[in-house]
Amino acid sequence: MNIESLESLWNTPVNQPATRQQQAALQKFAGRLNRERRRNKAWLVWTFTQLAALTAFAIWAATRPGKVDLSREWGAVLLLMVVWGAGAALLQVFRSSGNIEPGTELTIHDAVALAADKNRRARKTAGVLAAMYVAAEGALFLVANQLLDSGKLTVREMTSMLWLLGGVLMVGLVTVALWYYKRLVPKALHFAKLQLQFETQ
Amino acid sequence: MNKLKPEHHQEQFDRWMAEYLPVLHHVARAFATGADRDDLLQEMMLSLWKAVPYYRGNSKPSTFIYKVSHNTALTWVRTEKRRRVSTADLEDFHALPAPSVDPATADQLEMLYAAIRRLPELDRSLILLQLDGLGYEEMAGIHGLSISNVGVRLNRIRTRLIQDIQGEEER
Repeated sequence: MNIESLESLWNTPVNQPATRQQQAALQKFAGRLNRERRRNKAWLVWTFTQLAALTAFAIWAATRPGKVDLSREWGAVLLLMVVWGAGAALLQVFRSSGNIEPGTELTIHDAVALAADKNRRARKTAGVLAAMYVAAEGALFLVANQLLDSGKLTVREMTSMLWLLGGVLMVGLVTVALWYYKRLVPKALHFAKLQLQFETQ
Repeated sequence: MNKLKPEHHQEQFDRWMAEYLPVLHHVARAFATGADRDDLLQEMMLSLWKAVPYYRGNSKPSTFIYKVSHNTALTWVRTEKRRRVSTADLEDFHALPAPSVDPATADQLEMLYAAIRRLPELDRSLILLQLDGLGYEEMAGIHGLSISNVGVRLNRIRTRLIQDIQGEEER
């Protein structure tokens, strides 16, 4: 056996996918493309639903009957800042995931290096996002307590508010954690292995 | 960059698929098995779809397509939970060879793919390019390696591949 015999085996018709297989792959791809577009839309809607819910809550909290005393109820402002900061970071993630890297003109060696770098930045963003979700949870508790202290909220209202909004934030936090541990970390390890293969003979 | 009109984008993609889909099948088969193979094939098609506007004609379409598809296969990591393999998937992607195909040839080919899958990812990519008939210079341009480096690597890969297949045959 030699490379020529492998090449002739490679070029046999057995190694050509059947027309039926090719058509099935193309049909499946058309469906995948549509699903991809729908998923992107859903992601945006979900992100801005979270932002809108928390913003509506902060506005509602600030405009409840009774004099607004920002020296006592500044938590709402803090919550808004954290939430919109997280929104900006999420939008950044969305924009970078939608754009293909201009790596198509690069060699695979450079494209792998670029992908590894992009992965490093994404892990950093995931860390910032997770910290923001945790900060938003903290700010939510703070706002709830401030509203309770100022008598604008009953204990029952506070409990349901914390369950609802805290739950929304928790879902976001878990999503970011899954993205980090299930996607970004395995990819980082894989890129490191590939880079090593390029460096060694 | 001027954005391609959607119909031109689709046309270009369809042209590439008509000519190079078999190449993507080879890559998918060399990098994954079972349902993963289907996922990888779809992933490469998606990469090529996204890459269409970036093709400026600086290189041959084949070089561009090899670069995008091999890059996708090399950096592809199976991270999602394995989905259940449906009968339809099995039918589509493990299609039995046509009745006229010699079963012995099909077995030998499967043995070759299995041996390729046992190679490190970069070696897999290089031997696939060689089997598809690319020259050292083109491979070096795709991977960003020197021509001599490609030659040294391929010598080693070929020896390992042949020994591996012979070992399997003796078993």
